[in-house]
Amino acid sequence: MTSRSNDQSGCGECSGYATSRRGFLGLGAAAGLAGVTTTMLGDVMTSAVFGAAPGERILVVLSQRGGADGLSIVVPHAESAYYAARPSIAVAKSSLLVPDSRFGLHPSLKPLLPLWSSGRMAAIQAVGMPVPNRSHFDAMVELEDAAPGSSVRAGWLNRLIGALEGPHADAFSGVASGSSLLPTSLTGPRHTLAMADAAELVLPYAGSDQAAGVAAALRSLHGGSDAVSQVGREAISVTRRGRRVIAAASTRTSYPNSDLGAALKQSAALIRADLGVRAIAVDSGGWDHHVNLSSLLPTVLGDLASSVAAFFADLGDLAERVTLVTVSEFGRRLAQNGAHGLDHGYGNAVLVLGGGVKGGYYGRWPGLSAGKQVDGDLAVTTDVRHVWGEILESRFPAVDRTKVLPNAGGLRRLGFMR
Amino acid sequence: MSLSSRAEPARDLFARRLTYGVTPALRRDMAGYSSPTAWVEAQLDRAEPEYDLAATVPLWFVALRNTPALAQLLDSRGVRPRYQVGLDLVAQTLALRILSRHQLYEAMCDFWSNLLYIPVAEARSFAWRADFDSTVIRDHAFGRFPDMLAASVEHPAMATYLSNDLNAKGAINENLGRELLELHTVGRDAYDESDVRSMSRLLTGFTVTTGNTSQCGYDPNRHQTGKARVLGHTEANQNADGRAALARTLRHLALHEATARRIAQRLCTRFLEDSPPADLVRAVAASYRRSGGATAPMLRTLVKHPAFADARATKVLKPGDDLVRACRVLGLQPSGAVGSGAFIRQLVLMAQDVGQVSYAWPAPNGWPETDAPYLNPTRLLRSWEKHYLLAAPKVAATQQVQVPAKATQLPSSWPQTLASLADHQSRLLLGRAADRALVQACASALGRKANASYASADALTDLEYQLLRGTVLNQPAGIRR
Repeated sequence: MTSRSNDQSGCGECSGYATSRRGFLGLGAAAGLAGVTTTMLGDVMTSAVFGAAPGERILVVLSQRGGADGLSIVVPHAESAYYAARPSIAVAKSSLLVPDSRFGLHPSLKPLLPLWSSGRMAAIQAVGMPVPNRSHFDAMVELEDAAPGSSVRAGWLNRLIGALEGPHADAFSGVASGSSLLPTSLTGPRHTLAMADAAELVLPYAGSDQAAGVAAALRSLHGGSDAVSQVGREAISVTRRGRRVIAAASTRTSYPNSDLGAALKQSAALIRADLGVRAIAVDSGGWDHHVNLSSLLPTVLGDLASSVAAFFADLGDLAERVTLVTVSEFGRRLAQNGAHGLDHGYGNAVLVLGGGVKGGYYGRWPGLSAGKQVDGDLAVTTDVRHVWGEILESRFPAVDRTKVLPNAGGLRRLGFMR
Repeated sequence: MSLSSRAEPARDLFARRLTYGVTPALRRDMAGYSSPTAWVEAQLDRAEPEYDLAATVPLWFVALRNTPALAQLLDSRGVRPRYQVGLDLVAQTLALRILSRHQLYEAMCDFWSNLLYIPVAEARSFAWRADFDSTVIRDHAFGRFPDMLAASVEHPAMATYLSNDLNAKGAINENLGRELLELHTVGRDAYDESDVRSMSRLLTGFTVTTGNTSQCGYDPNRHQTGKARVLGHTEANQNADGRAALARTLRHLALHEATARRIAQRLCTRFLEDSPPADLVRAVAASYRRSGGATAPMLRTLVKHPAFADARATKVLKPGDDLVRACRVLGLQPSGAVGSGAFIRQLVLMAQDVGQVSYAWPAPNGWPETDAPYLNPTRLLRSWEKHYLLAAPKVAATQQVQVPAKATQLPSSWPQTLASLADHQSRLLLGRAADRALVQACASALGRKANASYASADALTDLEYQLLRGTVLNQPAGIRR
């Protein structure tokens, strides 16, 4: 029972929202009652081809839950207002990585430097939603739904899968890796998969004499048109492929022992298994730094950097097919609060890595002087949907961007994609 | 019950909506009342004495009564890490949901805990979390929400979880101020940023020190005075001690119509369906406001409304609640919590495995109340497995659990066909007749024909018994309430 929770900071809420719905109390895989699914041998391996053809491009969205402080990640070191507003928690200019005349990266991003140096990492400032929303929960839903005014509850990644795969979409087209609940971005009319652990994708009694009978029983029970039956049929279908993900897991690449590390390791396996995945959502928790930012941020940011670096190293030749973008529900206040932390803010930084990326710093920098702030926060000059839209146009040119991200207006490119 | 699409007896419908699972003992209890609503009144009074086994549950978890100072010391020394403290509270809660006679009370404790939500085992608040459960949630679960809210704000568990102990004059921290408006009371559409700032100012002054207190301290020197206006309620806030101004503001918020609407919506969603009829929500909200925010009138209005009797309204069980129901209907009764092999502790691990442990949601908005997040392929695979696991006549490798003898769960007259046994189990466990798909499924699972004959209870092997009961629970209706 080694702890793998995100809450090792000695400070709870301030360390932010843990990511894992399963990593409860740091318990590993349930040692529980002797399972009826202890073995996965014996079930017939299917050779059927599902979903997309091999070799398709893949989008990974990494959500920094809790509201990451972009000003500590892509630091505007030329702004005196930044240092004035944060007397005890500003990141010193001398410690920044790869600084240019305006920005530098937080030292905890060091594991990503090889990606940066090879021109495969872009850092974009002043990104966010068109209107401030400082509520964690509402902002997450609004962001991931990304269809203002629509009454249909469907996340943008769910719409992307629909646009990419049409009738061929199946549960493996869109996967929440490392979570047992679907995020809003993947929720919608296309069935998608929340996969905390690929080892879960197995029917009861698999590998025993009862396997075939029980599988037949579950098929009989879920023949109807009700919602549970539909998901039940999907569940039976995915079990035939779960083991391919397990078999494809890397034994060589070393990932951090964290929820994010595990989720990205599984994501790489999922891509390597060639099951037709097109969109993957992973969560990183612990970004709600209301207190002691300077001591808490390096842990989560370092974990993010090491996990993402391991992910691309693990993918090897497949990395060119994969583009990863980070997102958080909002940035944080410019000025520090009374607890050496930051309350909820607005504009934020986004990192884009991998296939199709043209590396460097991007963004229409609004400045931080008093007249340029929005209610004490960094302004937003790039609608986050335009960042996503630029990725879609570059990587998935056949997709109608306006169907995936409706009502976002004409695309204002920043040029960070080839 | 004119809206009822099927002829489901009102008593069964009340039982499945308002409890964690319908058992023979519950049916006997309900039969003692002239009507289902009379049973609801008795539940609201908690008039019936608790069952013996349920009454012992708090004794299984005596370490939850450690003082906060001791709990923190034991955590820091690694003797009793905070996740152990968290596991205890979860296990105690699951045991009460399985065993307690006061099912509606347990359901409402769950409801309020998910509104004023604090995860267990969280680093700053864990030492006070069990006291919060007892003195904030349980003491007020059938009382008035304004009282519960006031107790919550002053409790060290909430203060530390949402960093209000760090919110002070000249060092405002908006964490609790914002969530109090958004999550605990009026909701997202009702407030703006100036309400957050005013609320945060009113909340300054509270202190928490490591120690044995179960109430926050108060330091007037840390209180930020100055006019505060929250949702139309204005306080001059000139006193160094701002607690009276805060109390008035909290009461204003607790009884605000947006709060009433929001609580009513959540209550109807919890007990009825994801999109409850608007007139029902309005009626429940009106009862709330008329009664000064009392729980009982809301529940009375809910159960008397015609929409409550519409059998078509249904919820997907949360994965953890599904395990609790399986234990109840299968007759599994945890009887202790000594050591990791104890059934109730294993059940917590199973809840972890199905992806939903009470009090283990990582953010202050609590577990989702709607169905969609819980309805995905992986969840079904895990729930199916657990149903088979729990259906075993000897629940493998666990201790401290009472498992009913096979013969007591089977018909008394023999012979029976496989089809008639499937029907008997479906009625016993889920209160519904077996349909053709279930009979077919049971035949597949057991590898026998539907008309296969069993001469006696002994003719049904333990494995067949397990497959039969697990398959019954794995009907699509088996993960719905």
